[in-house]
Order: sequence, then structure tokens, then C-alpha cells
Amino acid sequence: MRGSWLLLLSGLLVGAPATALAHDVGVIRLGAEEAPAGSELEIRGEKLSKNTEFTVVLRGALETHTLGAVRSDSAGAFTLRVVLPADASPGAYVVRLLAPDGDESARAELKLLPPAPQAVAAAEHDHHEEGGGQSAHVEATAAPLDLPLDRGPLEWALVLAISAGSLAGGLALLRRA
Amino acid sequence: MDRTESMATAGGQTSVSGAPPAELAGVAGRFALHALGYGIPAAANRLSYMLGGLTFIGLVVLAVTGIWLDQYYNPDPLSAHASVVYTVTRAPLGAWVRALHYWTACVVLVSATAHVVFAFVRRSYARPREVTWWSGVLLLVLVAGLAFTGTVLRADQEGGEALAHAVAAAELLGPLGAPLSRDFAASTSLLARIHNAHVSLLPLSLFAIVALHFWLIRHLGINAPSGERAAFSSHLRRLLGFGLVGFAGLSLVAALFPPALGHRAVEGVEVTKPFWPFLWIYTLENTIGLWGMILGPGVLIGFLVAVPLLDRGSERPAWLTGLAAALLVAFFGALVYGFFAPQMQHIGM
Repeated sequence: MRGSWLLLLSGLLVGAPATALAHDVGVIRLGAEEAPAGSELEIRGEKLSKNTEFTVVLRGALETHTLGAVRSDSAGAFTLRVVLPADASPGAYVVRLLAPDGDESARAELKLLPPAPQAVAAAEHDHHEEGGGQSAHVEATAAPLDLPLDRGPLEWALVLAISAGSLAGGLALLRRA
Repeated sequence: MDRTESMATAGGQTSVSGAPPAELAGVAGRFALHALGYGIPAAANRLSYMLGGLTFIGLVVLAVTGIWLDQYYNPDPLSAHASVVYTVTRAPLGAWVRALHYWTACVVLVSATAHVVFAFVRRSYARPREVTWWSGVLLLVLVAGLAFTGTVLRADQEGGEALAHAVAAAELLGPLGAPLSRDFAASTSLLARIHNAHVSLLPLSLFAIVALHFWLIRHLGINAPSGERAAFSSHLRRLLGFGLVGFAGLSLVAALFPPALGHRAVEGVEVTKPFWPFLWIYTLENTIGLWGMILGPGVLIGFLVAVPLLDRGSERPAWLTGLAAALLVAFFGALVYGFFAPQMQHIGM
């Protein structure tokens, strides 16, 4: 019995990296670990699938921006210069390199800083030109955010079950006491 | 002494047959729950004597919901607000857990304050319970500290202004306020250190002081009218019962009334008022400036600490009762005034 558990455990340990290596995993290096929104950033890729078209995206907790597309050379490498979106919120992001099938081929972390003044001006100009979108300039306000709080039926059921269970348990304890 | 003998002794009885006594049988026996059957005054089963226990149940709920929320929180100043928005809008049960955390914090602040008021009325600070009282005052301060740091972690306009006020107060305190200055640790941000205080330093201190508080209550006894006795296990059952019913209510309130989250903080401006339990301090700031933030809590905590030293006789002096009543009225008056007071700039006054 003990032997079969060990066998299962070793199978899981050996199997996990094998699964992870099923996709080509390359490396991307960023010109800077921190960059202001609206600035230019150099991205270098290597050890990637050769002669392949990749999409470069910038993913944060709440927003995702497409930075562009690039094709790796016969050595599986590339160099790309992109302009970081000026209207992206500052914060922690991941630059992801997506293969044609949508799988992630490489990633690197980037800290996006508030935009430089000239980028703010450009973003505000774009905002007025387009007549919409979110401005990079932010006014202080005491008003609350209008957040979408759509709870699915499963979430409501769980909350109601927890509430009903607590109420029943509490009343049972009070009756016993 | 063999194993059976030692178990029987632990149960308070000596087994003749060698079999463990009935009270040590079953799951309850394995957890030695019979030890909770000791006697306490039956009056302790009144709700006013349960405020401390209910506050503790609230603290447990805060710890559990806090651990959940912290899985999604990013203490980086640039990412903190976005991570809270993510928690509310995308994390599983995130909006409900955050709302439960918020409403439970409100209830804990109210019940802890009411517990201190009732303990004062009953003279539970009198000899030999001075340390029990002081540990309770320290717990109230720690709970207030947790409420303040929790507000800051939201990183919205209200949180940003709360942090700016704390930094301004720390500057007034000079070297004493150094830990709250931005230059205290150049390797990390002040928000990250506030996060550290909220999730480790303050909760660890809180639960250590709670342990001391419980130890003292267990050994010095509950300060309730003697006479009829009841088992502590029955008191505990009642406490858990009220706690679970209260939790059910809070759970529904959290689902129906999620607390607001402001926009990302913009530094250098004051357009909000603080979290409602701190509105009395806001009133003092409106009246006497930033020093009100230090003097108000200082006077209140100083009074609570001094109470056992000011009342050492057989009954409380009338002037002490009057002073306490005046402070309580001033506290609630300032709280209500703060709610209606006009929004003002304090930093730089």
C-alpha cells in the first residue's frame, strides 16, 4: 500500500514538469523593469519557436493591452520596440508573448509608472480628438466607484447557504444552552 | 502512573476499574472539553456580559475573511487600488468577503467600545483586575489600529487621505512618529509597511493580548454578581449561539449592502472624511487642527489607563463618574458632529 502511494507521488512529480514542457517556452527580456505609461520599451525574445508570429500583450489585474505583433527569426529570437499605452493605469503588469494558438510562450514582469507629462498631454489630446475613452489625467473625488457587482446564482446560493447554516447552528446552540 | 491513571486524574476523578471515566469518552473527551464545565456566576449569561466574547468571535471572522482578501491584495502603491477592484469584481466571493470584513469590523468596533463602557460601569477595573482592564484598553487601541490600517489599504481617496493624516501626525510627534514616516525604510513603501502591520504585527499583538485577557478572566473570575452558578460550557454555548446568529445577519447585510470603494487616491488634496469610527477625531481636527488627532485619542486612552489608579476605594468617586460621563457625551457628540461637519483641509493648518 505504502509502495503504491510512493509510486503515485513520484509519477506526479515526474509528470508535472513533463506536462509543463509540452509547449515551447522561450525567454523575453525587457529594456527596463519599470517604465512610465506612454514611453517606449524594448523587448528582446530568444529561445522561441523559429519563424513564428507572436502577439505581445500587456496584462494587468484589471486591463489588458495589445502591444503589437512580432515574428521570430530563424534562430528563434527577435527585438521589438513598443510604445506603452499612455492611458494604462499604473501598477504591476506582465508582458506576455502569445503563440499563434494563444498559448503563452514567454513572460516578463513590468512595473508601469504614471505617465510622463508629455505622455499625459498626448493622451488628453487623443481623448479630445476621439471624443471618448478614459483620460490619463485624474481629478480627486470623494464619490465611490461604480463597480459591477453581478453575483451569479451559485454565489447567491453559497451566501444564502452559509447564512442559513449559521442561523440554524446558532439557534440550535441557544436552545441547548 | 500509567496512561489510564493519568487520564483519569486529568478528568478530576480516580478510576478504580482502570477504564477512563465517562467524561473522557468520545470526541469531547479527546479534546478535554470537560475542563470547560467549571462554574461561573449565572449573571454572566446576560448579553451585556457577553460583549467581550462576541467581540472575540468577530475578531475570528475578521481573521478568516482577512486571510481570504489578502490572497488578492497587492501592497505595491501603484497596484493596491487595482487589486482591491479586482477582489471586488473578479475574485471568487470577493465582494461578499470584503463586505463581510467591513461590516464585521464595524460591529467589532461597536462591541469593543460597549464592552469597555460596561466594564467601567461595573467597576471591573477595581482590584485585583487592574491588569485585565489595562489589557482590555490595549485591545481597544489595537482594534482601532487595525481599523485605521485597513482603511489605508484600500488605497482609494479616503485611504490615501488617512495615510497622509497619519504621516502628518507622525511628523508632529517627531522621533516617536518615525515608523510612520516615508523615510523610515527606503527599501520599501509606507503602504507595504502598513499592510505588514495590518496582517501580521497588529493581529499577532492582538491575539497575544487576548490570550492574556482570557487568562486573567479565567483565574481572577468574571466580575458579575455572585449567587446562582452556571457552567462555563453553557455560557460558551450561548456565546457561540449568539455569535452564529449574528454572523448569519452580517452575512446577509454583506451580500445586500457592499461597502463603497472610492477612486484611486490622488495625493495632496483632501476631499473625503474618514471611516465613521474616526469621525470624532475629524471633529477635533476641524476645531484645533492636526494636534486634535494626537490630543483626542491621547486624552481618551490616558483617562482609561488612569481609571484603576483614580478609583482605589470601595466605591467609585462621584467626580470620576461625572468625568467619564462627560467624556462619553463629548465622544458621541464629536462623532455625530463629524458626520454633519463641513469638509475641511487639515494638513498644513
